[in-house]
Amino acid sequence: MTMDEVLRIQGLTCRPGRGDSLALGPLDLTVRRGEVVLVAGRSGAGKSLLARCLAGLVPRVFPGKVAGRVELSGTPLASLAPWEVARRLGMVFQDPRAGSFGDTVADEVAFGPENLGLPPAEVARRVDAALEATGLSAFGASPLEALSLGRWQASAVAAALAMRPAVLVLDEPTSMLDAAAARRVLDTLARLADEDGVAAIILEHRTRLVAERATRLVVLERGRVVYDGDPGRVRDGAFCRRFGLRPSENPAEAGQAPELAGGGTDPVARAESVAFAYHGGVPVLADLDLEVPAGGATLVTGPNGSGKTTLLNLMAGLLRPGGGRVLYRQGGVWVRGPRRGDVGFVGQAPDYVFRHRTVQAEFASWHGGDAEAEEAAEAALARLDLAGLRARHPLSLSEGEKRRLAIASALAARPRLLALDEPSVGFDGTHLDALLAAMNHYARTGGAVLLASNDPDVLDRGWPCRVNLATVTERQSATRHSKSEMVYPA
Amino acid sequence: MAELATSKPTAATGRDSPGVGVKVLLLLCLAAAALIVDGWWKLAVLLAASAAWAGAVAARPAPRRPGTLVWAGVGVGGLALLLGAWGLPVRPYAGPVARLVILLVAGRAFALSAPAAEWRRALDRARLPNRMVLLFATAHTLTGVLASEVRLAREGMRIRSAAGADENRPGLPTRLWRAGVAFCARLFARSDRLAAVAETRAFARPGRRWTACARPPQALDLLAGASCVAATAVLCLV
Repeated sequence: MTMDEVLRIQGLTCRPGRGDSLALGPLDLTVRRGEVVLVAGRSGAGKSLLARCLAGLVPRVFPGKVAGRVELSGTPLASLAPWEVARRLGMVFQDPRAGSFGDTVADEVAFGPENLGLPPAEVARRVDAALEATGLSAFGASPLEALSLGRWQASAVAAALAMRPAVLVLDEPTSMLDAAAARRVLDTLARLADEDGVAAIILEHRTRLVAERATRLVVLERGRVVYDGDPGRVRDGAFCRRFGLRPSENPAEAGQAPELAGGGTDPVARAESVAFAYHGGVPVLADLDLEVPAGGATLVTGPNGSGKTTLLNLMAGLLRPGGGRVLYRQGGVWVRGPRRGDVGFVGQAPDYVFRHRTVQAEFASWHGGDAEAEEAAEAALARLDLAGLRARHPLSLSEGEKRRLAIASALAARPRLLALDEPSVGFDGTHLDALLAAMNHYARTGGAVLLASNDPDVLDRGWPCRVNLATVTERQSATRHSKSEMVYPA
Repeated sequence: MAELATSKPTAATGRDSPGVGVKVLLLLCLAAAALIVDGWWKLAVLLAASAAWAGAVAARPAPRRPGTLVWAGVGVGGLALLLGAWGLPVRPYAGPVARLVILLVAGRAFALSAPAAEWRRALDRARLPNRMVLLFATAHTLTGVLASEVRLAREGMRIRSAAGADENRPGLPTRLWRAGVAFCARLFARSDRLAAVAETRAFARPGRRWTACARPPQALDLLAGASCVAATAVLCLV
């Protein structure tokens, strides 16, 4: 191992769970100081498992059998105590809500450096720098639970940065961030790599965005490295299709995006002057009007914290508006809604709707059971590439697979409005196209779709109906959200 | 920035709110009194004190507030006291139920009003053994995890219902059983993820963490602490 090598993997294999099947490896990889490595690949290719193995979490926390050798700065991983690994390798997990130990952003970021026994002044310096790097300086005193998921994810990145490790492993760190926040995080990683020699391994589906800052691309397929080289290859369409990566260029500009259903004039649901604030705090939405037409897909977009998730929760009846009302059309009459069968909602934590022991049983519980419904449901299952997972337990699926199952289930229930919150998280290129095709098909057969996202690979699809939400700060100059801020088909 | 490292008061804690030490003292006093005192009116006083604490937490503009279950608990405790005081046949059970409710409501109010980091630092400052600090900190974090799991599970039920899933609805026991099993499975999975995050943040490192500069006890803290002890003593001795 040379002085420049901060991570060396030799013959790494991993069999998760009871160790029945090989899911990762044999894998050899060397990462040097200052490298920014983008690790891409299809859903289920073994990216998250690789991250867990590198942090020594398999089999210590997650069951599985690991073989091979991993060295961190020349020291075998197997000989290091967990806290010694933490000092050398920082980790950001997919779901930031899964592990928070502080109540406020600053406390959360300070938690790691505190555990390392650093002096208070140094902890303060690191917290300050990490918050600034992730654009959270103004949110240090904010309770984590009051943040949008995007900002929460940024705080998880800040917490890892504050540990100042030699290697940072980030599992989809930008999946819920808007483009500006994602670029800020990636710029920070690139700067840390340039100035401090910190190596970053970024496991991502948003390849176009990350490739702008990456110095190297590694593609995994079925747990093995199938490409290791120039990150510029993510702009090669044939290369992306071959490995199931996200589109190489803006699909709308390239004329590759299918025409999305714009919808008719017959609205299914409506928000009238809706306002909402969490626990009497700063208003997230104020005086918002929205109409969702049947037979079309409406995109809700806006920066992190602009209220996209809140809006979808209000439409799904999970939150009650502080002002105004949410109405659903029932036989020509507007009634406060939603009622049973009105809305299928897939939120940012999709697995909380699962109740059954197999994918097959779970899926079957969502559709009516008559022959026509069953046929349509089966088509949705196949379209989202879940047919081969019927015997699996829903909670044993990867994050992307869980989301696909939740979406397929919601489609099978045939609600009048399908509301999807950041549905593309954990989706590779093939599955993203399948999702958009399934959603488009649903809209064209009379359903209404309301989708919130700030994923550039979703936004760049030539959406005919688009609602742009602004943050509270941006809204201070505007009096209200109104239909003038929505773009409807001509 | 140095101020931040010394546990800068946040919107959630409030600059003038009593320190975590007073809250610990209040919790201990309520718990001790709930286990020691006898008599319906004394238990009623303790229940009212716990409910007032939960009410004070609910009144502040913070994202974590006592949920419906806490208020339902207060209602059950109050009902138990009333039935016990009237001498109804449930009298043998009324006392233990009321005591349990007092402990649960006070515990929840404490968990919501003492920020995790402040609580951890207070234990660290008290020079407790590292293992105990880790144990208490994990338990404190888990209460929040449990509360959020309950909220998300309820949302999951509402989402299923709104979409019209389970058209051929099984009986209530079957639905409750399935929901319970799914809840437990997710809770275990989330505990694993929490443990993973803890490991990657050097949680189990032996030796002391840095000790935040302790805020010197304020006059208000001393007054509040002394009041807690005095009130408990009076309640136990009268």
